[in-house]
Amino acid sequence: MQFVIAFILAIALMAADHYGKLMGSFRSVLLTTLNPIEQAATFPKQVYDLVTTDFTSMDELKLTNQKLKTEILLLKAKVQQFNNMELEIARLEGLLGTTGKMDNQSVQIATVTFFSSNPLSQFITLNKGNLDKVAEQQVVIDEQGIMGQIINTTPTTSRVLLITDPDHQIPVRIQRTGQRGILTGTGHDSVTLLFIPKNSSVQVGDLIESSGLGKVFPSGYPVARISKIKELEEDPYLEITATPVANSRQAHKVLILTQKPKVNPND
Amino acid sequence: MTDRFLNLELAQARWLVLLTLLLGLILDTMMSLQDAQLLAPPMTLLFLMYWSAQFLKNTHLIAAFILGLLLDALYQTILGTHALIFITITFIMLRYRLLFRSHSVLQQALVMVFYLFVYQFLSYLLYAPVLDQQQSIRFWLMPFTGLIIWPILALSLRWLTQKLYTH
Repeated sequence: MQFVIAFILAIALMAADHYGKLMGSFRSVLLTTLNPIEQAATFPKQVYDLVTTDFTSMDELKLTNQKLKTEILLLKAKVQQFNNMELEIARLEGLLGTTGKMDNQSVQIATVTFFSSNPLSQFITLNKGNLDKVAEQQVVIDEQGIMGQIINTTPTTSRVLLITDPDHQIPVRIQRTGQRGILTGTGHDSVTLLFIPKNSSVQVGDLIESSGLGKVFPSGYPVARISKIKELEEDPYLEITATPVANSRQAHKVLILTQKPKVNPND
Repeated sequence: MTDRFLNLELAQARWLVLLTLLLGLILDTMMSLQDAQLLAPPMTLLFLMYWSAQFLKNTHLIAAFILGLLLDALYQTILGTHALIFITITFIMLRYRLLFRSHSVLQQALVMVFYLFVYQFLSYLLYAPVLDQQQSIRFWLMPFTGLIIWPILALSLRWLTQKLYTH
């Protein structure tokens, strides 16, 4: 009898989780329960990393500091140019009467505390959660490009579904041609670009960026680079494989994007 | 001594059971950090199987259900799928546990290969993982790791139970 009840309950849970969004908070409760277990599981690796890390000398630290200062200076100069461009585009778009495409994003830095990569699911856990105002569907990037989006949050952590996960899809366009498509994960640290017709101009090495359609991912962020193109006779679309630009396996610090309310340039 | 061990009640060894199940969850979490996950057996399930065979007065189905749910959250799979697999395998174990207990540890390890194969088969049906050739081999070889792990696990837990509860 217990087996029958548990069996029915499991099936009901599966249906509720698959066809509805009812189980989000229940999953968050389970993840909160699992937080200490995840921490215990990563503890030996943390100790190993601590022990194997070389103690750097003062000179090396000074050199690194100098490099970072130079890098910050160059980046600040680029940001100034970018700000000017942003204003210029907003002004031109205002003249043309079109809607603004430049998204106003603010970022939050988070640390990767857990990484899971297997064909069933590819995700990372971050050390920021509800208490840090992190919410579901926020986009996570590293210095190279988009890594994924937040799918579950607990008070102190959040889980990011990587773009390489088989359940993940992201609307994209090829930067060189503007051709739109959908990028989906394969579960093997690579992604597939869908719905690109055979007569399209696509090359190996082309950069794929987010198109902003669907309003979840902001427009213009690099996502992947095309690594293989295959033409199948019976299929009207090309079979395109790409490699994500974000370094999800090695990433330690990542950025969580938050959409700021848009400011009207005419105000 | 053996008689006392066989007559041990779940209430007496509650903490040991809980700790081993927790250890199973930690080990499964550690495996998911590595690429070896496809070849690593579900340790939580193995611990659960051991205790299901030891405590005959309990069904362990609630524990199987809760552990399955926790693994669903851990692996980011659809909630209820691991719970379904766990209760199905535990139910089969409950039907044959008296026979299972009468076997030697090596014979039990062979039976565990069957249980782990059921686990992999149900996982394959429910998750339809996209596997390349090498991953497929690792995926279907996983049940055979039970041949090595079960004797170590069963003998360690037997020794620990006897040491702690049969004075």
